[in-house]
Amino acid sequence: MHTTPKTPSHLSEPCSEWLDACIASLGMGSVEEGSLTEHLGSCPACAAAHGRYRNQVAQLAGLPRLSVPYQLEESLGFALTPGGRQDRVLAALTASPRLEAPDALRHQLVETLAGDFADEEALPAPAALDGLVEQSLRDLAAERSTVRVTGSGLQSTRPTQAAPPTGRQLRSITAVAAAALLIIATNQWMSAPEASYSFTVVRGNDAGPLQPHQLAMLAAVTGRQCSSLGEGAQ
Amino acid sequence: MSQPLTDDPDLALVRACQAQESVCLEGAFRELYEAYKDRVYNTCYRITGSATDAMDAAQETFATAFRRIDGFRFESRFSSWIYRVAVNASIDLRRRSASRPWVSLDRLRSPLNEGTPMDPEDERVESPGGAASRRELEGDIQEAITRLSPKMKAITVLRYMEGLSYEEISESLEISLGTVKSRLSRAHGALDRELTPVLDRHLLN
Repeated sequence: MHTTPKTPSHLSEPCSEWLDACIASLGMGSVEEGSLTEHLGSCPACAAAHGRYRNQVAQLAGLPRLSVPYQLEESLGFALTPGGRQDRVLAALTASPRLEAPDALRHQLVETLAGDFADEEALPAPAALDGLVEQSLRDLAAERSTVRVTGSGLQSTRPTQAAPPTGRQLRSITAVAAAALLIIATNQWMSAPEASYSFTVVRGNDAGPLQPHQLAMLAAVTGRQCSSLGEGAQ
Repeated sequence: MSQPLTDDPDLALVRACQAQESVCLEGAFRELYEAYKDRVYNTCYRITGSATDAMDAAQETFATAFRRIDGFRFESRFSSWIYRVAVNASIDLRRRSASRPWVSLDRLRSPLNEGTPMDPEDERVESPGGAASRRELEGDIQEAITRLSPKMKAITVLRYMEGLSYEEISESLEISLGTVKSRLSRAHGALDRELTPVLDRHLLN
């Protein structure tokens, strides 16, 4: 915990009756009054303090003005979309041309994703949401992901580690299947005119092939027929 | 304050927002956003000390403004009000960040590195060593600001980085002019203790 250092003894403090005037003379547009100027000429303590304060204010005012990241507008746009969080997730999904699915299963996907977001929390732009959908699919065989979406991207909820993580690592909590599901995209995302997903399941969980509801979820999101090919096959 | 202010420079724009059915960042609200986004973001950044938290705080500020603008009655200037929302959002976020057991991946980077990328133009007038040294100084100053208490941070940022007058600070923070003066006095004491070693280290005193 930081302890504020005591004022070093060699740093003079201004006379208490002149302190307000000293400070009021600092900052943009301030003008030093004649009486203060006269006092500073005759009081070394006030002159020294005033000089230090003036220097400090110049350094503060000289800090660069930062450019607003473009993501602010994007995330704000989503945050301001009317309706509850599920409506907003649905709106974001609808806006993406890649995701086509029967309503019932889209609703299931929306529920799954919306549960990850707190009320009125920022939602990522469609491109990032696609990544989140893909990650959600990866989590079908594992626990449910807990990802907090901030205005500037994804944020891990893992406890502080001694070594920094090497990449995004998402912790999941709901078990759908015991083993990891390995999905390989067989098409490039942007190459096909319709830019649709296509996944080939190459490995099921240790307990057996993917369950029907899992295959249905994949089919709903991908718009393709999905089947479990079993371990090692492609 | 019972009488609404009529000399608020944002009067027309706020009234336009109130009259319009905005569903998103469009129309009059978009204009308001464009007018204030830099000020809000910079205020949030300097108080939170983190680009990630600044984004969240700025988003919360504008979302609050959007939700509450219909009820804004010009009992203070709009600019004072939005600064107040930004300061409160930043302080709250900073408090929540400090108590989180986990760390944002963005926090692993230095706050200053998240800011404006280095402009190649700088390299032509300043040596690489000079630019690096200046960035280090800026980082140290930001660290010193971050160590101030929330009240000291707020008043320092509003006065010396956003250029607000005493009256504007009084309106934004909802404190009397006397409290503005006394708080600024205390802030200078704290800044003296925090910044003097920093500036000494950089041979700027």
